[in-house]
This record gives sequence, C-alpha cells and structure tokens, in this order.
Amino acid sequence: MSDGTLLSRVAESIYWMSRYMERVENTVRLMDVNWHLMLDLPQVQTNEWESLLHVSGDFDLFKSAYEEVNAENVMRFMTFDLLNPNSMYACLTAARENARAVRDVVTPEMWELINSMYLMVKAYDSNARGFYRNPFEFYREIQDNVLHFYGVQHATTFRGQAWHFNQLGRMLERADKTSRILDVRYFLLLPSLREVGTALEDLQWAAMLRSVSSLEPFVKKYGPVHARGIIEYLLLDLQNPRSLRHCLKISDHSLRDISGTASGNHHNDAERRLGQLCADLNYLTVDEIIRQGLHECLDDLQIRMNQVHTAISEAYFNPDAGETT
Amino acid sequence: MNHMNQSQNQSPTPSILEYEPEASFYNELFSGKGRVRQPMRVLGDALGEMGSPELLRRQQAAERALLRMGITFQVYGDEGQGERVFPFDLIPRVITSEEWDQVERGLKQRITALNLFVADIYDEKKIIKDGIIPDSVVYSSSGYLQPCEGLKPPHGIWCHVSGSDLVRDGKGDFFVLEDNLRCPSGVSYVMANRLVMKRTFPEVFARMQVRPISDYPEMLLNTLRSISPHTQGTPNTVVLTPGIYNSAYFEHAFLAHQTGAELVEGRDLVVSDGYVCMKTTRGLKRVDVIYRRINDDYLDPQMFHPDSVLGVAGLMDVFKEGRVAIANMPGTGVADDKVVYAYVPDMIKYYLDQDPILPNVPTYLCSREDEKAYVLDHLHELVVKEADGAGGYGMLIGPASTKAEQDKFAELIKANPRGYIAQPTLALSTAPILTKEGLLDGRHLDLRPFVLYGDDIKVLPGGLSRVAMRKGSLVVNSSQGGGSKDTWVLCEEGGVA
Repeated sequence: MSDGTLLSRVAESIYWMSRYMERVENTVRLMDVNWHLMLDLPQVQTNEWESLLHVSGDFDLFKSAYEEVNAENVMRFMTFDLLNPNSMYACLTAARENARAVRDVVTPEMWELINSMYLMVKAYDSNARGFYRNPFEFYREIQDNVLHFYGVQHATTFRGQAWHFNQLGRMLERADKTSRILDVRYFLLLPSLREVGTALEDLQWAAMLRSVSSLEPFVKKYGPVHARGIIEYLLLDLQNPRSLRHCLKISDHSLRDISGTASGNHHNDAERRLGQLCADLNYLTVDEIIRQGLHECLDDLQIRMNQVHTAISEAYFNPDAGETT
Repeated sequence: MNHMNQSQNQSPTPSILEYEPEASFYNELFSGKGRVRQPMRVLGDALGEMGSPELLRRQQAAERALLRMGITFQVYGDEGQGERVFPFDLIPRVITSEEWDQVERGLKQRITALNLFVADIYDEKKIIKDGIIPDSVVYSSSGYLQPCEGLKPPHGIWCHVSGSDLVRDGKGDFFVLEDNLRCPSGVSYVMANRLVMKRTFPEVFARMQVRPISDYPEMLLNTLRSISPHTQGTPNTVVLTPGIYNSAYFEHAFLAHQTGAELVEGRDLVVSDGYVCMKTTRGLKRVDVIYRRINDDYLDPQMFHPDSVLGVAGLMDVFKEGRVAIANMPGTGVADDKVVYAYVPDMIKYYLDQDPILPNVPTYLCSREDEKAYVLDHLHELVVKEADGAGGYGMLIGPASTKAEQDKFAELIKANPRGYIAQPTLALSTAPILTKEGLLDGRHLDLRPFVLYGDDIKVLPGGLSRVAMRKGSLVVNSSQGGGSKDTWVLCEEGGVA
C-alpha cells in the first residue's frame, strides 16, 4: 500500500521469511564451524555433533530416524533432511514459500536470490560421499548467498512496514539462536568452567564464538577467550551485532516504527513486553547472571522472547477484525 | 542480395535456414525451403548468422533466466513437485503490421458484441426474444449464473479482461477458436518472455521494429480504476488470488507487483459496515476495485458456492449496493460455452449489424439432431470438445484417436448431446522451434491476444503464442506439455531499423 501499511497475512509471511533465512544462515554456520573444529580435536568427539542437535532442540527427532550420532548423520539431518523442520533445506523451502506468498512486495532481485539458492540446494546430491568429507565449499556458498540476500535487501527495500517486520523476524531469530548456542556450549563446558581453561576448552570456546562469527572482534575487545567475557559479549554487548541486547534493541526500534509509538510508551502487549526485556538487559550485569545461574537466566530470556513473538502475532498477524479502523 | 546464401558460403556446415516446412501447413516464418518471408528477413538473417551452437547457448541462457525468475505454473494431479517451468522457445513468432491490423479490429468487434450479449442475457434478453439464440442454449450453459440476473456493472461493462484464442489455417487466415471471458491467464508469460528475449537476443530485437508491450500493467490498472464506484481519491485496487498453489499464482503476483495493486486472498478480505475491506496491520481498509482471479462460483459463498473458502462472504451484496467493482463480472462465462460460441457471428450481426472480421471455426452442435448424426458418422476426422471444457482436457482429436476412444465419445455424445461440439480438424499453422539438436523444425501453435475493456477497448500487440512442443501435436495447452514463444508484432513491413 502507498502508505507502507501491509496486509496482516503479508506482514506474517515477511516476518517468517526473515526468520527462516536467519535460521538457514545460523544452521549452516554451526555445521561449518563444527566441522572445522573436529579437524582440530585430538580424537573423535561425538558429543560435539550431539550438542548441535541440542542447540536446535531436535535431538529426539534425530534419534527417531538415525541409529548413530556421527558427523555424516548429523550433517545430513541438519542440512538436507526434510523430515527435520529445522534443517537448512527445510528452512530454505519455508523461506521461499513465504517469499512466494508475498512476491508482490519482495523485489525481483530478492526473489531470484532465494529461488536460485533453493534450486541449487534442491539439485545438490546429498548422497555424494565427497560432501561429508569436505562440506566447506557448499556451506560457504550458502552463507555467501544469504549474505548476498541481506545485502540486496538492505540496499533495495523500501523502509516501510515490510522492512520492519523483516527486521523483527531476523533479529528475534538471531537473539534466540545466540542464546541457545551459549546455553548448550555452556552446559557442555560447565564441569570445567575456570578462568583459564585447558587447550581443548579454549578450542571449543573459540569455535563457539566463530559459530556466531564473533571470534576476532571478541579477542580484540576482551583479549584471550574466557567465560565471563563470552557471557558479556554474547548477551550484553551493544556493539556486537549478534548479542541479545543488540538484536532486541533493533527489534524494539522496528516494533515502534510499525505503530509509530514513542519509546517509553506502549500501545500493545508486544511493545510492552519487548520494552521491558530491553530495559532489563540494559541494566543487567555479568555478576547477576552468574549469581542467578547462566542456564536459568537464558531460560528466562527465551521464555520472554517467545512471549514477545506471541504478542506480535496477536497484535498484527491475527488481529480482531473490528478492533481498529 | 540473398543473405541466406551468403551465410551459407561463409560456413562449411549448411545454414540452419535450409529447412523445409511441411507443405500441408502454413508456416509462419518460411514461405518455402530456405525462404524466410520477406517482412521477417532481418530475423532470418540473424538466425542464419548465429547458427546452431550460438542459438542453443542462448536458448539455455533464456531457460536459466526463466527458472531463476520462478516463472512456473502448477500442474494439477501431479505427484510431488507440481511446480513446472513453462517451456519457452527462442525463435519468435512474427506477425506483420497488416495482419495484426485485421486481428485487432476483429477482436474489438467481437468483444463489443460479446459484452452486449452478456449484458442482454442478464437483463432484457432481447436476443432470445428475437429468436437469434434459443433460451435453452443460454440457460444450459454452465457459465450462466442465475444470481447475476439484474446486476448492473458500471458503464455496462462485464468483460474487462478477455482473451480469445486464435488459430491460422492452411492459407494463414485467422480464425477464433474459443473465447475466454472469465479469467484468461498468460499475459505475465507474454511480459516475461519479452524480458528474456531482450536479454538473450538484444541485437536482433534492436534491428526489428517490434511494437512494445511494456505498458500493459498501466493499461490494466487504468481499466480497473475506471470502474471504481468511488470518485474521491485514488481507488484501492486489489488482485484476488486463490493463493500460491493455484496454477496461475505467478501471474497474479506479477500483475499485482507491476500495477502496484495489493495481492489478496479471500481470507484477507471481509465485509464490514457495507464495504469490502482488507485486513491490514493498521486495521481494516476499504477496497474499491477487485480484479478477481478466482472462479465465479467461489467469489461469494453466500451467493454462489456455499463451501468456498476462497471468496468473500457478502461480497455480491456490497456490489449490488454499488460500493465495490469486480472485474471481470461473475456470469461472463456464459459466453465461454462452446455452443454459445457458435452463435457469436449471429451476435455480431444482431448487436452491431456488421459481418465478423474474424470468422469462427465451423462448428457442429450435437444438440441439433442432423449435426449430431454427422458428427457420429465422422468422429475419425473431427475434433470433439466438451462445451464447457478448457485446458485441453476432455477432447477427442479424431485423426489421432483409436476406435475405442471414438466409441467412448460416441456414447458420451449420445448421453449428453448439449455437452459436446465438433469441429473439422484444422491444418493449424506451424512456426519453427529450435530443437535440442539446434535445428529448426515446425510445430503447431495458436495465439491468445489480451483485450482490455474500460473507457475504451485496448488490445495488447501480440499475445501469448502457445506452441505444441511435440512434433505433429495439435494440443498447445501448458497443462498438456505446450510451451510458448515471444510474439512480435511489427510496426511496419520490412521492419529494418
């Protein structure tokens, strides 16, 4: 529409298209980093692959379809298996279906990029033995494509509601993924959590930072990898584009741009909940997080992010027909 | 100077233009072996200069571009992935300025008469009272909708967007094969084909004076806006689609995108306070014009099909109050019936007192005893069609049929004579396609031009040339494996820029 307003259905599809694209990128990045990590580790560490299944919460589904947790099975399950709704291919298919449903608001360039990616993956032979020996090029190509998509989107999208629903979807998904990655890795490394870790633990922490593409900026700002710094960096650092605080702040801006509500006020439940969450993160410290327990803290944040998602759905995707004019 | 021979001399392999069109059909590009028709010489020269390898390379580039653009359609009844790319052939179909002039005048005449017929049928029924067309034919047409009786669309226009299918016979004369007054699709493929042709064949394009088609979305939007019931402000125009699983979804999205209209599904719309509104992130917003791409009987479950979830409950009540416009009007399908089709020349005479500029294909109505008897005796040489069939389904092509198939149709005709018509098997014209081997070979084709009826009548130059990609096949429908070509209407004879 000329005023940048959207059909509710279209807003929902844009939101999901962006969530799924972000999920594609995160999944591929996780697989790629894990594969690289395995080459550095002294012996076969299957729990590294298992931990990936916990990040997406798909461990039970995996066990129902595969006998053994090993590199090939997990890569296949997380990359190509349509049985897994969180696999890269399933997410890409869902992103494309959503983009198709809103082709009239997606620029032709953006559509062609999603469609080309989809066709490339669809035609890819996931049974090729060579893939599991060296998946790097494939994963890199997907990542490049997603980044290309982001670039075109950033450069060509009209900054109306469509843009802001897209930002909401992407940033809420990214915040959720960052919190899950931190949660799972922390859980695995918990028994030996010290200020100075072993060489092996350092490798694993570094890999985790890589999986959220944050190693180099982290080291530059915080020095050698250590747990407190990681918690601060991934949760609270406003300058880290993948930290929860950063992602939620961008989400908050977009949510307010959609309705035109000034900061500090709210006119629906989504704005109230997201505003509260942002305020809490603004004043939270690492000491408080450790006192509360990182896992408990992350759990609480994830629940609250889910509540924000539900409130957005109620406010914009399934509004009561007679409520507004 | 003979360009063809020149290119032959330069090359050790024979020119691809050394191709012999079948003598029994009218070939649209060649007048004889190796002889490209005079107005299309520029194209012929370019094809000859490029040769097979270059043409094949460009064909592949064009196919890749179409795939990337997602120019696909859904095939019903397919298992698994029903999404297919519409086959495209690189060699354009060229229509001269003189030929097109007749087609354009003929289409304007025909749609004028058809529109008057539909308006008459749902109002005074003068054409029935005057004995030109029997009431039994009209009321038994599956496209006739009783609830449309007495409806008064703005400016008396019912058929805003239409597309009649044309064929050419052995002499190259144009005939109307059928009319599509409901939701003719294909115009987006016309636009996409042209875009791809410009990218893959720029130099040829630049040297032929081809009439542009890029203003179709603007013409469509103007046509739609011209019927808005509200004169204040810019009309809010929407394209109503059944959704992404419809065979023509690509087209619906394309037209919405190109015109700036909102692409809506039935669930996006609601009737509120006497108006049709769409549900937006800022509440309800009034809709003024609906370009609907869902079938008549799904439009409004209160008026037509009660089980439909695709339409909008109460829509037709809003329409009757003059608070929303619908294009095309429901009920126009009465004239798509192939028995009604047979009466179109009489309609032209009756309403306009003119002779048809574009003739019908001779048609036998099985509802007439003598004609039925003739049809049953000549099934092996006729084409039999269901009166309300479309998409190339439910047809018997006599010369290509088995005795068993003929017997089956004989039974069908005897059981329901009103449901079938027959036509002589036409020697449909052919145009060369580029084969997988990089050679030219003739395939049968038809033409679906698109006509817009708003403040005045506009015909898009060219239209969708549908090609039977299988050699010898007469069925060009996309659902039956047909493909398409870009259609070039020349500005003037010769066309050298």
